[in-house]
Amino acid sequence: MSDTSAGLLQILVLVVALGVCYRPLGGYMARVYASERHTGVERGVYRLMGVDPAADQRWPSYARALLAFSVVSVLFLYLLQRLQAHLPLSLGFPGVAPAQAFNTAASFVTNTNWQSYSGESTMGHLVQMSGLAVQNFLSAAVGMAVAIALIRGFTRSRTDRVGNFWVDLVRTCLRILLPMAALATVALLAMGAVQNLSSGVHVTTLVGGHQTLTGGPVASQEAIKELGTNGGGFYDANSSHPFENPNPLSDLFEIFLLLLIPVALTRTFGLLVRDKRQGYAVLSVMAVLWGLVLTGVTLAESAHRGTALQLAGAAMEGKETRFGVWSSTLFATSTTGTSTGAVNSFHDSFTALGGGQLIANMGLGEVAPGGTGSGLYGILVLAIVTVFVAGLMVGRTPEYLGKKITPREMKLVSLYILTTPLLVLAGTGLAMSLSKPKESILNPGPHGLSEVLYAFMSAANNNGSAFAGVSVNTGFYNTALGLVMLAGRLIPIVLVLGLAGSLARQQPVPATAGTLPTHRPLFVGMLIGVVVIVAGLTYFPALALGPLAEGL
Amino acid sequence: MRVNAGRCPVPARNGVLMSDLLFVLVVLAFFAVAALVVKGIERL
Repeated sequence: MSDTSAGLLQILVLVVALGVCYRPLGGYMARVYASERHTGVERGVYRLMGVDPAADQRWPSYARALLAFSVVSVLFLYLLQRLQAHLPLSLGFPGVAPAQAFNTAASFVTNTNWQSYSGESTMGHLVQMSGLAVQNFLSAAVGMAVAIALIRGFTRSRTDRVGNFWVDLVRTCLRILLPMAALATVALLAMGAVQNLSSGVHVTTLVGGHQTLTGGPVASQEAIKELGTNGGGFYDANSSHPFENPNPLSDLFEIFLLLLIPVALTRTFGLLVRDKRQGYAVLSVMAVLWGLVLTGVTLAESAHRGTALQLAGAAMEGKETRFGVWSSTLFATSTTGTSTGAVNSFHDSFTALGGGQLIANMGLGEVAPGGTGSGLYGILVLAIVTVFVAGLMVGRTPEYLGKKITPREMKLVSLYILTTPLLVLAGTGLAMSLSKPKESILNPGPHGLSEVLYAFMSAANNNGSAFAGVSVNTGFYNTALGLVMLAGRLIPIVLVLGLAGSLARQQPVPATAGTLPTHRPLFVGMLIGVVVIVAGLTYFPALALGPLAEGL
Repeated sequence: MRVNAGRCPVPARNGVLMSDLLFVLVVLAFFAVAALVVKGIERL
């Protein structure tokens, strides 16, 4: 079978698998969030936390609870890393240095999972299990909770209550993420991923060299790493390491896992707003954008420009020979489109235009299909922009899902859209204007700019993948990227919750002949246009100076 | 100045503690600002 046939077959299998799971998983999640019953375990957790699960919160209380939970999470994870040397299962590693511990704590709490460290030579098993893996669950659950709160903003009326943060968090973890991660762990184990508490096996290689093969609880961490669109690898090589991703089957399974929840959440959305067509419309936008980027990146990486590429048959530098071009571009497109950040190839080695499209994919705002929860609330914010633009065209007050989009909503949406680009462009500009951060760049010219731009784009959009090519374990990058990750995650979340509260207060307006239908192909096309134009207007100059200048 | 090289590295440890304190303060300051953003949006 040719590479192209195998690649297309792989995409077909992936799409069919997602299609099979779409309705049952989306429906199950809708039932979880709509249910008024609490399980015995959940009631025990609420008692332990001193939470009244029956008390719905106003949006400011919801936001403050989320912020309080996040600050405690950051400080706990920071402390855990700093005290690593004094804790069991540290494998003899010293405490993580302050700046790196701050960066990693901010990274995992914000679902970014940017790593300025090598897992196998920095983190002991306790930190991996009780710090990083726990945050993989919690940060994903926080994103989903915010998406559900926004949906409640559309479905509720004349109230200022958007749900209970603690109930949403606990339910997401216990009823959705934990059971799914357990099943995925077993599947990954069957495919050959390792799972142990080994401190390393010392081996003598065929040429007489000595090597230590580090083991650990890899399969369990790998499962939630993909499922929660986290992306932080147990090993430095991430999903190109054979212990994390043993073969092409596990590779396809990992891509399936990282797309599963963001895709199925559109079904949950459709069911909760009692109009499944709305979910299909949002899913269509995500699918078209994902397909376009996948096509573009695959074409760029399959082109045979240059002697080395002609000999190899494609741009094989930095790609695992076990996976080849198609699996690498499929993984890269899916990971940059879902804010996952896991990688099975070296993005810095992609062709200029292929790598540039990966940067642009993150610049779309992580909505194709986006992270767990964050993808859904991100695309809904852009849907509001779309109805606003459509309203301007015909001179009517814009409406979305029966709610009027007033100046207050548009102020919140505008701030949401401005926050991430501000962080990306200001951060990149600062790094390029200071002499010390510039010393971290390992490649000169436009590619060097692409590397810094990728780092800030990844951090601000909470993706976490790295172009690499920049030595980021420095005081500047650890601190600056840590702050960018926190701001890129929490400021948009606060704005989305404010939007949810504002929408929930409104009385729904009945659809009239002048209402723009938001489930038709016209709206899907307009929304795709808005996503591309907003990202294009924001990032085109920076992309022109980096990957485009290098590639053309 | 390390006057007792080879024994407890006092200046280095103090430096680390200062860094810890600094990062904890940075985290707290960030979340205080985020809480102010919530307040600001309430008044919007």
